[in-house]
Amino acid sequence: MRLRKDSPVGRVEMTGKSHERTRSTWSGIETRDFKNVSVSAIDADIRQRLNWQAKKVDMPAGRYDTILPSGSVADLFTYMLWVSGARDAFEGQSVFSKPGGGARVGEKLSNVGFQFFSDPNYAQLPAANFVATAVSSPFSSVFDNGQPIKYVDWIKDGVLQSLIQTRATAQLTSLDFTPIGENAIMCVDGGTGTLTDLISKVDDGLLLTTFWYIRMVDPNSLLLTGLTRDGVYHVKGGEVVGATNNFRWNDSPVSALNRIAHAGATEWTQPREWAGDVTNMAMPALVIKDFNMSTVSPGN
Amino acid sequence: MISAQDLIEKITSAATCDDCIVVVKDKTQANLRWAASTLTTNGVITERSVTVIAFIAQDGGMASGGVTRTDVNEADIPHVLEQAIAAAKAAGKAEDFAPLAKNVSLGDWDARHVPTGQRSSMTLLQHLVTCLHDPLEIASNSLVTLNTHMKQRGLAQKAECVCAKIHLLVALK
Repeated sequence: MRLRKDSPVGRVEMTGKSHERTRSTWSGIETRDFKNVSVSAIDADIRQRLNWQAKKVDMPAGRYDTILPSGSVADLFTYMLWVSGARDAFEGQSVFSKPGGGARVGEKLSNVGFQFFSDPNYAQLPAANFVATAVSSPFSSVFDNGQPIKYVDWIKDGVLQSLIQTRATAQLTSLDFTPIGENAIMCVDGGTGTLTDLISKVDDGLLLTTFWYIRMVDPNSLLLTGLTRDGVYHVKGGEVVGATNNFRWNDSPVSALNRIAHAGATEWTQPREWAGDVTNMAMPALVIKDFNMSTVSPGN
Repeated sequence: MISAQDLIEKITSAATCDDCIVVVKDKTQANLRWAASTLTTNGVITERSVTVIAFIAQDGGMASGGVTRTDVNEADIPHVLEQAIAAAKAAGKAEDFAPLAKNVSLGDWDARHVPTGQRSSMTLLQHLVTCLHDPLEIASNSLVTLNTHMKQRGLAQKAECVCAKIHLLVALK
């Protein structure tokens, strides 16, 4: 066996602060050769957001229709992928465990035509087509080195299709051998347009910039918690009307799957919380109904 | 530094266990970082990770044991193999056992390692400067130019650029 894979990857991240550091925002882009990077576009984006922060609005904790940029969607759903091990599900340890035993494969999880897959041949996100692992874990087996990685639907038309398998867990669970891929792509049927287009569809809600410090609260529902940073905006009548305080949030990506109000077009994106660890993700921006901003965070 | 391919061939041919897999990850990374419009970091990182996995047949299955090191030279090979074999013996029959893939060949095995390096960071820098609103001359003063440009706009910006190249090689004895 002789296997080789070369993976060039790069990113540009920019943070802008103004008015004695009372305003702060961030923008990031992933790239392979920097040809798709427009610094002037990043710069313009940052200036627009800093201008949005001219007006400050205090907003209380509560559930808000929340616009998540594609990078925040990537940060949130990376966590879902990380807990998608078949063995954990079958042993009753994860959000994908079925009460009474087994996994929730075949169960409808989303209110929309939701697609989530890995594909080594996805043109924009070239990925290895073979397993390469230095360790055995709930996700991987050293015995599987060199096994093919193929296209796999994790969720198709909103229905859970596959969990991450080794050949040993595939036998244990009587499901197909579906090793984790090196990329993840999410699409929502009918999802179209940019983040700005999504803003125009929201009557009263919030626009996030970044999820930060994401941690697990409850593995059985995949309840996560974290903070917001670098700009949360109040959206009214389809327009940004000011910047709000930051929040601590408590919500589950699996529960959020069933509360999708609007989706943008799928785009190659840059996760922020997992920058450097996670690459090769294409996600749409999403509007999640009733996203749970559980407390106000006084941090700037 | 010994090439990943040479190192792998030497480890697998020295291995006395029933099977042996070597996984080498070579990574080079160039970083440029600005704070308040001043370049604060301009570095290149080179990283190698070598994992040697020993497999030993055991009552109809196999035991496996792995050792990962950040650098292994030729003289270290016997010791690393010894440690991997000891780990496999200590672990006992693996519950994730499945027959190992044989005769698989993917990717251009012999291709030279082309690292990200100094040249990439200069290209990056030049690209960033040319991307700014006004067309700017790329010259030895390009850093200063970038700096001035951002200050004119009265904004403290922090930017970070990273480009990395990861070469992953896996081989079975």
